[in-house]
Amino acid sequence: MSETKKIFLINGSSFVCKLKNPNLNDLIEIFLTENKKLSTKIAVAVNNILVERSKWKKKKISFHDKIEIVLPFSGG
Amino acid sequence: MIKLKLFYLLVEDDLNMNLETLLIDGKKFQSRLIMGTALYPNLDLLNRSLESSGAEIVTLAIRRLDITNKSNFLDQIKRKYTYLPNTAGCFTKKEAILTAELARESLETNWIKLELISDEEILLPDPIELFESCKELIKKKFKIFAYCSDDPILCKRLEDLGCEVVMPLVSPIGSGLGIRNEHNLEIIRRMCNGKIFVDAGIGKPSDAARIMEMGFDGVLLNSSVARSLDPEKMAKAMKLAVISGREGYKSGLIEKSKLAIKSTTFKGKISNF
Repeated sequence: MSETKKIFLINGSSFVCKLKNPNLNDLIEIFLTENKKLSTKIAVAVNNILVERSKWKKKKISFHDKIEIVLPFSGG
Repeated sequence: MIKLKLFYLLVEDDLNMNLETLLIDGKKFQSRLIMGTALYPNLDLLNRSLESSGAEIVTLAIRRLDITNKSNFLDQIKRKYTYLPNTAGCFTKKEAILTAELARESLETNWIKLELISDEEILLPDPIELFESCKELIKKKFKIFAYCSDDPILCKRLEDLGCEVVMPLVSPIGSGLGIRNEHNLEIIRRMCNGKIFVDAGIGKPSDAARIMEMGFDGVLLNSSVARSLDPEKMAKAMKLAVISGREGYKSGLIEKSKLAIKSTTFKGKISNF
């Protein structure tokens, strides 16, 4: 895998990733590791479409993709 | 003091023993009170209040992962509850559907409390977006708890569409205004045969009791407990109000009369003088 840095948009903020052509699984893993977070109960959408966890590895991510990582939170 | 405590425990036990079973989507519940998890001053108080409410179902929102937050919200509430994720904050069908799908993926439940609001100030539900979203999500095999306005026709249409639970408000979210249109609620209960929970606007335990006396299947509330001075105690008050109202309803309330109906016979009284 190439080591060229690339910027992605995760939860509305820029995220710099070293991988050149990461799949969604790689990107989520790096993002969570860097932020010391676990993947438990997270769900992910790319460009406003849900990507099931079982499909993360097959999902290629490109520069303009908008990634949302969500979790259950307090709510009424 | 000990006697009083023992009496209280016995009453509690009696209340719990005689509760009927509520079936939602084939799952059995004893409590008819669904609790929201927002706005509590701290997590300890949230947990104690949920415990005190006796609720078995709690609502959750779906929000972006906050990298500044050290802990995961779900890890900090007890695992015994059935989760009812919501689409709070969604304005459009597109937003609501994606949020529902994310909730299902995250929590492994096809239950969704569908909320589509019309604006940020009054937070009243948008019936058009709601109805269209329901149609789409039912096709996607979701079990919908539809948060809606207290419009009898809309409630009936949502029920006919196949919503698992229809949830009319009594007044705007968090307002604590209580029941504003009891007549509409009466019509809703008469028109809908399925499960109707009242959601939003409850301010005090007597609101919850009144709703249950009218024959509704349950109550969902959050602000009236979380924003009270003593949430743990208020949660208990709401629990008792819901039980009390339900028991009253099942016992058959007497009809109202514009004139007095004496309870003590005049026969045999000492004479008129």
